[in-house]
Amino acid sequence: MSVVDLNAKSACAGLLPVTIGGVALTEVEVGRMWSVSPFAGAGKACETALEKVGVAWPKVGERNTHAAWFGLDQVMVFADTVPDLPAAVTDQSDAWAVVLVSGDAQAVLARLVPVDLRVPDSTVLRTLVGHMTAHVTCLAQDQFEVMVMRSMTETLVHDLTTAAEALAARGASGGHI
Amino acid sequence: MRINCPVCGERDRREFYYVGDAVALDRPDREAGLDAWDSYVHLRDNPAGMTRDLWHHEAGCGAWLVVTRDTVTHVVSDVVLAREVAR
Repeated sequence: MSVVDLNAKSACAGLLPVTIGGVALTEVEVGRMWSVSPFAGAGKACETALEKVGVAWPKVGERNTHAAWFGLDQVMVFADTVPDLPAAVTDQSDAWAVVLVSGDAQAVLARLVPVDLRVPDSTVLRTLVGHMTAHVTCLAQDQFEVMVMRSMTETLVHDLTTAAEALAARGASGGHI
Repeated sequence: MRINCPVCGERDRREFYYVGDAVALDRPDREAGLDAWDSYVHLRDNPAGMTRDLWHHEAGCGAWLVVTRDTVTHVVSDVVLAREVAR
C-alpha cells in the first residue's frame, strides 16, 4: 500500500487568470468558509456568539472583514472554525468558485447581471450572472468579486470571457455599450 | 416587469419564480370539511384586475413573497415577505 499524494486543485485551475482588453479575471482563494443560517429567533444569539470570536454580523447586502450576507437569514463566515451556534451551519469550503473581475468590471458585468452595479463598496448582490445564480460583491468601483457554485466554474469563466471579449471588440474601455 | 423585493430592492422579473395564488398561505384546518379543502386545492379565481400571488426570489435572497398586482395594468402594488403574512 502506498500513500497516494493528493494535490488540491482550485476551482479555476487551468482556466484563470486571463486578461482581455481592459479586464482581468483572476481566481480568489477564499479558504475555509461556513454557511450560517440562524434558527428561528436565534439571529441575535448567533450575532453575539460570532462577535466573541471577532466576526461581525454583516448587514443585509453587505460584506465585512470576515463575513458576508448571503441571502435571507443566511450569512457566510470566512474563518477556519466557527463556534457552536443555534443555527444550521455547513462547511462550504471548496464549494464555490470565486473570480475577481478587475478593470472594466462594471462594463463587463453589466452585460451579464440584471442589476445596477453602481453600488457602494462592500455591497453584496444576490442575483444572476447570465443564467446562473451568483453573488456579486463590489470591492471597489473597478473590482467586483463573483461567486458561483463550484460546479458552474467553467460556465462562469466562459460567460465572463465572452462578455469581456465582446466589450474589447467594441474597442473602447469606457464605451459601456 | 420589476418586483420590489423587501430584502433586495427592485429587481428584474427573471430573478423570480412564480408559484401561484397566495391561497397557499391560508390552508384550512384538517377538519374543515370537503368544500373548504376542494376550494383550497382546486378552485382559483382568474381575475382581470387585482391578484395576490406567491413568488419566490429564486435568483436573489431566496425569500418567499406575496405580490399584489393588477393583471390588466401589470402594476405591482404591494410586495411583502410571505412569512410576515403567514404569521
